[in-house]
Amino acid sequence: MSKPQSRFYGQKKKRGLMRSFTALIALTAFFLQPFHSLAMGANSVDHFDLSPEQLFGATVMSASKIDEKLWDAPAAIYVLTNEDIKRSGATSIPQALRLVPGVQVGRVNASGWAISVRGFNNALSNKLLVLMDGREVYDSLFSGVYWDIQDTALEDIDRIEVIRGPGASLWGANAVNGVINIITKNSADTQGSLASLTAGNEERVIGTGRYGGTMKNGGTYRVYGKYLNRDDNLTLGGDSANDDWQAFRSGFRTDWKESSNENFTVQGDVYRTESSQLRNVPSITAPYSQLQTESVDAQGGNLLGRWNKQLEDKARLTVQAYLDYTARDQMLLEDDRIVLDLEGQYEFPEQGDHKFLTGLRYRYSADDLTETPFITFQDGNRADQTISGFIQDKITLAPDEWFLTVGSKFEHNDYSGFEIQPNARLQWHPNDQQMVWASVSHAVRTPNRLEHDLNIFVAAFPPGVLSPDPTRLELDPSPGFDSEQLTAFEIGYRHQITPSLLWDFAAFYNDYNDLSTIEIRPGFAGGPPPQFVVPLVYTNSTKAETYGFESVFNWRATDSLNFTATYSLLDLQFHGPPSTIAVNSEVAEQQSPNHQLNLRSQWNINESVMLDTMLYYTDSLPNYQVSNYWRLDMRLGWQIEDGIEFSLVGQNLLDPTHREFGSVPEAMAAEIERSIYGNVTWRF
Amino acid sequence: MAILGKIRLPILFLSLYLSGISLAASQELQLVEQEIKAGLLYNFLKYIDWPESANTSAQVTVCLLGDDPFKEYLRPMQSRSVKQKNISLYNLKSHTAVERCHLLYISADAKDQWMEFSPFISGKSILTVGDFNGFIDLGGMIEFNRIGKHIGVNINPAAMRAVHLNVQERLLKLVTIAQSGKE
Repeated sequence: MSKPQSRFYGQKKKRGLMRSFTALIALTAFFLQPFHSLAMGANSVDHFDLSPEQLFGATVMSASKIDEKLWDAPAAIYVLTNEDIKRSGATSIPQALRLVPGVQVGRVNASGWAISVRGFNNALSNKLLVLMDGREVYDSLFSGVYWDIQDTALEDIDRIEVIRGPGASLWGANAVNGVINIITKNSADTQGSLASLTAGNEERVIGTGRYGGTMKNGGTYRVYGKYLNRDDNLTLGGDSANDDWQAFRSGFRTDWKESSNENFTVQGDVYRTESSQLRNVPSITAPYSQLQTESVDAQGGNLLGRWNKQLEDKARLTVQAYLDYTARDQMLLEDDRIVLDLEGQYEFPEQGDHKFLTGLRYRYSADDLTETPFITFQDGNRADQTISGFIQDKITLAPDEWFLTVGSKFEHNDYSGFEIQPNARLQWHPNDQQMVWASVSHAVRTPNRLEHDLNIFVAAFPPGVLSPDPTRLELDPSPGFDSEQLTAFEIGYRHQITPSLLWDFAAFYNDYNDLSTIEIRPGFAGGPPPQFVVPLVYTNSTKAETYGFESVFNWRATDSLNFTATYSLLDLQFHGPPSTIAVNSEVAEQQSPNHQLNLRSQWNINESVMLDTMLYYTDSLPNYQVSNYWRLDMRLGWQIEDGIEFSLVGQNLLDPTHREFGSVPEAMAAEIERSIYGNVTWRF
Repeated sequence: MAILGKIRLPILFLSLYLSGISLAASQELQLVEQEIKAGLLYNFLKYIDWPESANTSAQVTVCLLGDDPFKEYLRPMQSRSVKQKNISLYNLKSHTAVERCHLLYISADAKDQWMEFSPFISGKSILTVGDFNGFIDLGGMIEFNRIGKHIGVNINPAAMRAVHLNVQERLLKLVTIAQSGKE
């Protein structure tokens, strides 16, 4: 008797629970509404209505600085937040940059990336300035960035700001096409322990550990360690591209206040990376060109200190100094370099309608190069000094409506002498929802050590091709090579169409002069062994015009669903000497994709599960025989319980392999494979 | 009776869930720094008791020493009341005006001015709140600080007890007691 009764009672109880559950869900939906408005912004809450528990639990909105910067900036700026980077499934900084409109990202192989802004992309692209917490990370040997050594604990990156166009940066003669600014979090915001482990088929293993604590003087610090091991990709023929990569790095950061308006930061990293890649190696004797595996060993460290003091009337003084040591050893080149950089910036107090900003910088860069059979030079040691300064004034033409910013950078360096880079930007705020800006700037890319001093053995041809002897094709030092010039015209429009729909648009027309051209000089007999030498030199004989636009739509469809669509158009016209005397410059027109599209959705399925989908379209690079491709990445994230998050990521899901960059004869360019990995991140 | 039973379960779930919701909401609550501090000043007035001798005036006066960092975030407090009294704000300039203050806020740039004013404040039932590091070491009662992305409050209960200011339990649970004596 009791058993059937209890069964019946159990069912009744179940129905009762179900009813309460539906009531619960309905009431939850109702009660969650006012709390959503709390989450969205500060202005809808009266802080005097909050309980003391809520006030103590509230987080300080530092985003107001970013929002202000994004909204008010008279430049084409795009910001990747820590959340954006995490949800994109990127395991490295170059991968995260795929999301940014106007940025061309081509993965060459496991450790090599070709990244540029608005064209001119190649693995040594030199028109982009990349900064890590204020430290310039481009290598002054070739004015480019070795992306395999730029890394940190991604969890501790606060944001990556990408500014397309030249005028917005305050420093550096490399910021011709744009600036990428990687900013890590203040150590006060990375307290406690973090352990993260990633494992997958291509990302074999990535382990990161970080601990953050407080110091006696009221300041904070963090230390981290990271190890990664990436699998090799494939060659066109399906063999291994021998491009596996492993790296270890460790670093620290400490921040403290000396008084309420004085901040100090000291940070540093050390790293060691070992990778390899395939390379066609020339030799003056048979077989003249041979596929070999080149191993690349890089290590280094840096130490940076920054002091910032807020003065009366919103004046501010910042002083920064850093030391950066890099050592790179590969078949082609052995390069040890030390850089010392000192800079000071002063923001004047407001003086009526003017806000002046000025700065001065001294940079010392010394290297120690070792000759290899492929790269030789007159002097293996060179120390260069660069002194630069800038002045800028933001003039209020009509309060809250019209602003004009004029300024100029000045520089003296040991390669091209004195350079001036002026710029002017006008911005108009017709109302709170719209902003229009326009800018004109002049920028230069100064010559580097490779162009001025190095002799590079480029290729060899067997006897009978150009002469009875084998031919040696070499790049000669070109001390006469001067700076490349750019005059950029840009215009942009920002519109908060509705509170949940934002449109950001930027268009540009870039006029380049004195672009780097490789010209052929008459060959001559040389040796030993007997050979016909064909020298190539760098000259400034090419002009180009590039134009295009980037358009970004961001739609917050609901509080748990966000869509982003970005589209970039790029057209390039090059005019250089005929192919009888120079490497055909028009070829460069087909080395950048004309169209790029990115569609992204971020969906918070419930309070612990999130699903993100990223679809990329990149147009073809005909000169490299890289066809256009669609790429689909997805990430499923699951907050298991307090402090533990698990995620599953699939990258390149539509294609088992495809090439993203580099021409077929260049053995380095590998077929990038589909990658699937899982990650556990534990915060405690 | 049966209906009560049916309602009780959803209400129980609801109240449990609500507390869960407000917790989640406070985790998502993002405010400008000055809003949090202004809200906290209001809560100091609510959850700290002044002695009878200090309650003679018809209103509660909050004095500011130094540059006002609150912009529009503190002014609305004047349209509110606490313990049945209106609140008024006052920019403190002279030593004699100190008498009218119930709460004195010293902004981050007014460290020197605090050194000047503090002898005129000692012994009086005025709650001093400083917005800079080391305020308690200089004789202050409450100090704001920043812990990562949150605002923290350090208090010196001994200094408060000496002038008969009593912190209620609800607020006492949330603040940090500063270590007595200097480090």
